[in-house]
Amino acid sequence: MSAVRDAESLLALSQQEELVDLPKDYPLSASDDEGDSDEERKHQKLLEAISSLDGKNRRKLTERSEASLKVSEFNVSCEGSGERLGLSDLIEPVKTSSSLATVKKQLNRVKSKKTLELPLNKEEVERIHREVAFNKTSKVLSKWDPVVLKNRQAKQLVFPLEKEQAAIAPIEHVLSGWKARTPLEQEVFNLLHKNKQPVTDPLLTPVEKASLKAMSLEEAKMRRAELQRARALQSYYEARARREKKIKSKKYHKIVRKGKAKKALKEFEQLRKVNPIAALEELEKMEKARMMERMSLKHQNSGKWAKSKAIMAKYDLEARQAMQEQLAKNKELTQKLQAASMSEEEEGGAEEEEELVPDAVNEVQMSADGPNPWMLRACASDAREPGTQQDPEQQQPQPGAPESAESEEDERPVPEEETLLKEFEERRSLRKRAEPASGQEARDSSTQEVLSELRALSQKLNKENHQSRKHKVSSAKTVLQAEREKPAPASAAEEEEPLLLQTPRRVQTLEELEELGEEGCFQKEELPGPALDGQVSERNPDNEPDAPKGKKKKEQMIDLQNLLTTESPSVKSLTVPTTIEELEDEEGKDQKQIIKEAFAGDDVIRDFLREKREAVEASKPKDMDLTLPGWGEWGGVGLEPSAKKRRRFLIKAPEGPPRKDKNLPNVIINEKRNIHAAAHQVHVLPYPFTHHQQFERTIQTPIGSTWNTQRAFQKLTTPKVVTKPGHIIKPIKAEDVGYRSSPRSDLSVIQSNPKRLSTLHKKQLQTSTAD
Amino acid sequence: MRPQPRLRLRLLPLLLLQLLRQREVVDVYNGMCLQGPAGVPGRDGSPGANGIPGTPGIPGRDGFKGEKGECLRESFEESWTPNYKQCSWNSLNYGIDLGKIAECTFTKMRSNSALRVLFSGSLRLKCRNACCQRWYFTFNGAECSGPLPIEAIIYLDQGSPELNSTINIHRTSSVPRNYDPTLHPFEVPREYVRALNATKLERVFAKPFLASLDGHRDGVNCLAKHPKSLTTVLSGACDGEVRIWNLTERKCSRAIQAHEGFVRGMCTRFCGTSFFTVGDDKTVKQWKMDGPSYGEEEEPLHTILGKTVYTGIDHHWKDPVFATCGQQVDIWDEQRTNPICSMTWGFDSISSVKFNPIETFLLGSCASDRNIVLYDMRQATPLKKVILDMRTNTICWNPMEAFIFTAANEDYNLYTFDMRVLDTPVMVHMDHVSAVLDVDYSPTGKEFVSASFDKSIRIFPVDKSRSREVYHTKRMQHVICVKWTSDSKYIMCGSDEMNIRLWKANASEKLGVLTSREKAANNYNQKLKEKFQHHPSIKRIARHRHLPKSIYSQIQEQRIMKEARRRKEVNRRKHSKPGSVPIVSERKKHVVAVVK
Repeated sequence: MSAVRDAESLLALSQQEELVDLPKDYPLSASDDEGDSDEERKHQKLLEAISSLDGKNRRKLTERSEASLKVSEFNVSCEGSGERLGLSDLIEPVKTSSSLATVKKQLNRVKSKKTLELPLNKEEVERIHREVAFNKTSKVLSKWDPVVLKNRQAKQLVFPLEKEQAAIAPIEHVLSGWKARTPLEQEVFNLLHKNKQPVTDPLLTPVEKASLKAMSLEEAKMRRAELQRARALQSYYEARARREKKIKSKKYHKIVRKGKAKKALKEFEQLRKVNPIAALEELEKMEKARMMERMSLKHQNSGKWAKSKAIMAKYDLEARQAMQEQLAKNKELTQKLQAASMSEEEEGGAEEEEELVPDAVNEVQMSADGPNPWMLRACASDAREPGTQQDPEQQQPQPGAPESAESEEDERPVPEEETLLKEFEERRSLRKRAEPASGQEARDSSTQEVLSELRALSQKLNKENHQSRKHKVSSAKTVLQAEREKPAPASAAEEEEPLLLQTPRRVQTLEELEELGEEGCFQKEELPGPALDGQVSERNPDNEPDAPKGKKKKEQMIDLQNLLTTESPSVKSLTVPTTIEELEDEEGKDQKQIIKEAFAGDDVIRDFLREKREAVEASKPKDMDLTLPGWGEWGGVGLEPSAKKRRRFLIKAPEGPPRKDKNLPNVIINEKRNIHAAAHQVHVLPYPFTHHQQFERTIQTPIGSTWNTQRAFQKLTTPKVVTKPGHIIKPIKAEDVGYRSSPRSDLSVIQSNPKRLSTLHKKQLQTSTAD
Repeated sequence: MRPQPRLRLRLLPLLLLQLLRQREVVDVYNGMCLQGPAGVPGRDGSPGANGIPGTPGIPGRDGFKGEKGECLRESFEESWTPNYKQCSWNSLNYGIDLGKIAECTFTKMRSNSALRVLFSGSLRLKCRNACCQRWYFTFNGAECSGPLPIEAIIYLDQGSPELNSTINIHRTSSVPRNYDPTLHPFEVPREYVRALNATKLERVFAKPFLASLDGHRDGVNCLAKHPKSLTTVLSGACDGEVRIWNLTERKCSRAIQAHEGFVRGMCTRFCGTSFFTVGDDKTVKQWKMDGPSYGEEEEPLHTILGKTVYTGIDHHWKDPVFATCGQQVDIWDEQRTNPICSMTWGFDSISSVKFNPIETFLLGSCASDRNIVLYDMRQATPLKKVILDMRTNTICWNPMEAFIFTAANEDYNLYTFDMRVLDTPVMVHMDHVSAVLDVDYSPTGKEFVSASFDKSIRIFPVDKSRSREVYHTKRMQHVICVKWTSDSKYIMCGSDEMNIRLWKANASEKLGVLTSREKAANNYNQKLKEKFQHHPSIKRIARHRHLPKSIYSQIQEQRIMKEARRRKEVNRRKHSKPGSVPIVSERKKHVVAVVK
């Protein structure tokens, strides 16, 4: 209530003040509009009034108002009258006089305006003010979020954060204060000045600087390396060419030429495939070259060299060969046209050839061998074959005559082989022709033989299995086969079978008895049988000698280890199945069958057994082999240390304590856990890791330089925070992280910010209060 | 007369031997060339002076009886004893090995003899960039090639740490390594052992206490760092004395009687030219950092007389503005005697005020009515207030994270707040067993140090609730103020018993210049410790600290108390309606309210 009263009195006061002020302002506000300033001032007054709400001030005010009653007509107060003084009361006397029209108007305007709203509570105002300021500040602060996050996650932070830029001042700047003093220095400087070298700045001429800037160092380096390489290559090729040029060996040059020719041919072939038009051009070129060659008398035997060779040819084998070659070349050159018109101009061509053949060579041939029937034939048969190839070496009798005649000079040895091959082929074909009848028979007979042998063997085995008691373990499958063939004898021979073989088999037979009707499941039942048999027999070879003992004794001897493998035979084996049992059994069977069908593929028991066996094997203490190969004897690849050595240096591991699961057939107890090691192991997954594998991986990757390269080691061991000793680390700045710092200093803001709300701020306040 | 024949007899075999030798030599060389005529025998040299005969040594004790030898097959062959000649040099051609380094002459006397060369010594290489050097032996000027040359090569890559240091070929790191993992098995156990050793060594070398600066005649109430100099520290005592210390000399360089009564607060100007103190005598004084010149009197630059007692002062990080606190937070211009603005919120004495070092217009203060108030200097208004369980003594802003500050509280805990979210502290740091009186951040912003009434100081990582380190000495009493030096290497604390103590921030760190190898080893050890920190035995050693009995027993006691409280709460929860006793997280437990 007191608050309300306070507010009321406040309002009254404010009105009073307004009234008091009004006439004072009168001359100023003669112009009709009352500016903002006026209002603000009033507001100020109001605020002052509010702030001076203390008891003292109030009393003072009232005092003053009382005093003013007597003195001034403007200090109107309603004191004493007991009722509130309204604006209308004041205006009333003005109505009559027309001279006060302007005042009247103004008063009317004032009257029409609404009264100011009650200002907010001071605390409330401050609260709103604070809230706005806080929101603003937190907005400003949240610009730091990414920076903070980055720094928190940084792999390495190097303090101080701001990089001290090493200002590289040119030496001339540094030495600007330096002057040449000693005579030597002066002399040097004189020299420099004479040569117009830049002494102080710039040390580099502008051109040099530009050139420096034009290309980065790396680029320049690369370019230089390239150039160097090119130069090296060039010189290398030059040297090679020079060397090759100097080679005098004719053979070499010949080879080179041939190689080139071959290459060209190959290329031509390639070109023909790829680009026929270009190939045609090439061909034309070649043709032209050939024509030129042909036109020249280079390969005729009219040259000086040819003549001399011709003379020598009589006596010298080499010369003759050279002659021959040249002739061949000539032939080749002249022959080409024949290819186009083969058959018709054959004779003529031959004639031409004969014409072309130099006389001397012919003479030689004639003198050497006389008319050669082989060659003649060859000439006749093949136009391309030159009729003049009559070297004594070449004229060996050729066995595969008709075919080999076709082959060219170079391929001379080939025909021999070919003929041989053909011989073989023929022989083979002959044989093949002979074979079909006999071969088939033979094969048949052989297969039959094998089969019969096998059969005999199996029979034998079967017999042995049944008859002799010593070879029981031979092969479970054959046994089973035999059984399937004749179950009756098997059951008859039951007594003689060893216990461990017997039990499962008997189960089978019993099942057979039971499930005569349902044959379908028989096979499924059978599945684990043989395998188990095999296992059991493998495992307990020492039990076998006991086999022929009495039946009852056998049953008591059930091994604990085989508990899993055997299917409780005691219930079914002895008694003939009754009907009730059968029913129950059938229900059980159905269930079992379903399960079996579901897990037809996997043999859980066997897997488990294998697992256990492996675990047992693994837990057994291992023998230690201290043999050093190559110690005292030869060692190396493929050489094993001798048995004696190995025996000598083999340290037998002592038999460990018995396993805890030794007598528990369906349990594997892991004895690996080491209590001593457990004290050093981490039990709880540490905080940042979400999976134990992550943690293990971090532990397993070594970070030392023993396992890592130097650089990797350095990278792996970089500390998270690096500080430089002796450097002051300043707080992070906005400029450090690329933010613009606040434009004005905080001080200036303070000074320019009187503790008063601007109109904008007021609006903000309004909105926030509305919220 | 007698001795002469005997002598002759002795000489004879020698002569014979010599003769034989000569003949042999002749034989050997006969095959190759003709022997020239014998030269004229040279003159005899002058005999050298006799040396001083040494004193005979004391005969040694008889050795132990050897073990019984094994019977070996006797070799009837003549034992082969090689002749040898040794050439040795001391620091051969240090630094300039171009061309032939040294020569040692051996003359081949017989056709069937061979030369076996052994070299032992260290080859060193030093260079700026990557470089390679090869040393080899030549025989008669030619290097032998088959089967292999006798040589040594050192190659220094750009990345190898030995690049800028002297390398020793006998050190394994300079020889190329084979990193095949099969050659270096057991990496995890080996690293584990290394980590264990590193942890143990860390504890062995943990000697954090460096120096004690004594000179004050009353308890040290406040400390201030010099913003530009690492070696200068200022301290104010409870008798109104201010001392300026030189840390390298560990001496007091200046002492001023600044105030009557306590020096309540102290701060340096951002440029380091002057400093401000406030005292119980209601004055703020500005002093020059440099001492008065000869003949001058020790006088403050400015003195401001206030109406109330100022309890704390802090200077703006960039502008010539400082803030004091007492009944209200005043912000002063250095040039004026009246505050620019004063901000209040409630009526209680404010114990400390701190400027935010990053967003410099922000201020934080803590008052004795259990609250922490944040101010904005630009808008000249308080922003928000958080009320905790108990009174906060000081706050400190994180110098790297603008919105994070830590408050040292009377309830033995420290609270790290994000100033935008005051209703839940980011982290509650607890380990002290008595009121925390002061806190200061490392300049890296990763850790802070706190001083407590329990006569210890603790170092906390910002993101951990438990301390990493605790420092205490027998003589150190209630620690009133603590500062982390600007290079983040040292910690200073001022305590009740008039001493300022200097500590290493890293207890086992080696001071001084480290070689690159030391640095590498240090980094490796740190990483190993970090990698295996969760392993129980390593954790146990790393965490082990000796504590004074009072602190130790208090820790135990508090553990019991905490457990009891927890048990009680659990029990209450069990026996009341589900949901009526909510689970309040440790962080939220201590915040009473946030006032907007």
